[in-house]
Amino acid sequence: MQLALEAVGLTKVYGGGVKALDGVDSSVPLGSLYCLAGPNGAGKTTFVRVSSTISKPTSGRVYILGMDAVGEAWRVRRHVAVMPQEGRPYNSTLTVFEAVYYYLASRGFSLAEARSEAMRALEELDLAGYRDRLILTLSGGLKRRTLLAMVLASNVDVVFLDEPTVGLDPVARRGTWGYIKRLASEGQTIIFTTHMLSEAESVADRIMLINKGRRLFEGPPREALSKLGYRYKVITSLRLDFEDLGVGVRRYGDLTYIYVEDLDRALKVAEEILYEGGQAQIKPVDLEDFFAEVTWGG
Amino acid sequence: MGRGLLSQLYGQVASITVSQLRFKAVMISLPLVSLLPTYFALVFGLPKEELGIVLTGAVISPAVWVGVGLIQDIVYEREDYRYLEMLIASPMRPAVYILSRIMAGTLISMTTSLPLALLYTYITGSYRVLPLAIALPLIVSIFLAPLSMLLGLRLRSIKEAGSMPSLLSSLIVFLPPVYYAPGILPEWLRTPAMAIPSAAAAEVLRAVGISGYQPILDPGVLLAYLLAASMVSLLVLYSRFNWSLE
Repeated sequence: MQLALEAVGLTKVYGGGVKALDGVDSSVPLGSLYCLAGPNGAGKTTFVRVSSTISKPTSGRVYILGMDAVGEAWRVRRHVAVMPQEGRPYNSTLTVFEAVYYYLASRGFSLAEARSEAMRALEELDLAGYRDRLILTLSGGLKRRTLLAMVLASNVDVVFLDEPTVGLDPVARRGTWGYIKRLASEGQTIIFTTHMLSEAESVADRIMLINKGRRLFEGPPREALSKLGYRYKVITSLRLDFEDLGVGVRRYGDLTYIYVEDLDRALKVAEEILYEGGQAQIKPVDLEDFFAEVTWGG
Repeated sequence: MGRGLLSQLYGQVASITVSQLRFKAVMISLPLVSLLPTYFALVFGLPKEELGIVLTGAVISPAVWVGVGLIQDIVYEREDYRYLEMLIASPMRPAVYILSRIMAGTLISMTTSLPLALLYTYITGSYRVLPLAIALPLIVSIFLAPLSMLLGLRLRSIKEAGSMPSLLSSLIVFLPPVYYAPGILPEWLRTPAMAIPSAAAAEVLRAVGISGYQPILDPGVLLAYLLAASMVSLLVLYSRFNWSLE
């Protein structure tokens, strides 16, 4: 299997001894939609920066398409593009089209190519109607989509998107993911970060769960869920001793999560809660449950 | 330079220049602040020669305002908009990044300094000074831009930059003999004042443009100093420049 990215023991220690990455191993297959998921401060952005040659690792190696991201950074840079977290299009008195067009020219596109690719990306991201609007007059979500258009129009092998859908409305988010998925199906590798695990679960082919700089899991989202051993959860604010039901129980503030193997069991637990005068919600388990499970107890 | 590199340079220079030319606050304040001392010279009815002296400052100062302003631009680009990360993770060469900022800065400052250079040649009647009036702001830009970039890349936030750029520019433009002849200064300070590139550039312009003007130092020497200082500034940037976020 050809890899778009391979990280081996990737470690990054910032000044003051803060360990943002702690020996992370990762393999991203070519053409995959790969998600780095984890809470804020987990090390996702550092992973993106180190992998995309923006910053150097303290130790360990990362290879992009087989090329060393440190030793062969200049070769790697021809094949990657990055949408930074909290990034916005610079030079806000440019129009949306100019921002994309000039960025592509800055990447070395011929001017004719830059023009056609810029237009294509604007159309794909539903920005064509805004092409002549100055960036400073756009909403935060449209600015973010313009930045996305700049990066996705780059037509590179490996695209890094750091929290790409933050600030987008639900419709724009769906449209954006539709376009990104198509790019991945056409062979581009998209590596994105999110702290919204539901998004990771619904979009990504593979995920890497990361917390405190350490890899907790890597694989398809379904594999993570199968490792849980439960298929459903019952959520209630009722405080009862559920442990004697013989199922997994976790308490988060006022809410209690009761994990069960199947729907019959979930219904029985819910019945008991209702009988005691409480309210219950039954839901299938998701990546958040997996994340909570692997990080339980710190 | 390959076609890709030319595209890269075009992309960067055009995006900065087009954007800045549309930025009304810059395009109005740059000529206004550059011409301010000239306005007072006119109000006080200074003779033509004196007006010429003040105008040399107006020709040179836009390069200072824009060159030092790069400190803030770089901090915004890196810390606020995070655009620098997008440029690092791209095939763009650092030399293109540096050159584009110098070129764009020069083009922007030229929008003010070129009309003033024409005015200066008209007032002094010395048309041979025009090429110098165009070249000198460029040299001042080449000197200041690399140092500003280095400083900008070391600052961690816009807050840290604060009012430093405008304070520095004001010091470089209004304190040394840029808008006035160095003869006003105490004798011991006249030659050292020429170490400030904006003052040296203005002195060269005065020496060549105003007939009968007695420069503090030979204009050829000052020009050679300016060229050497600009090269040193570029070399310092080149040796210290780190094309990453470390």
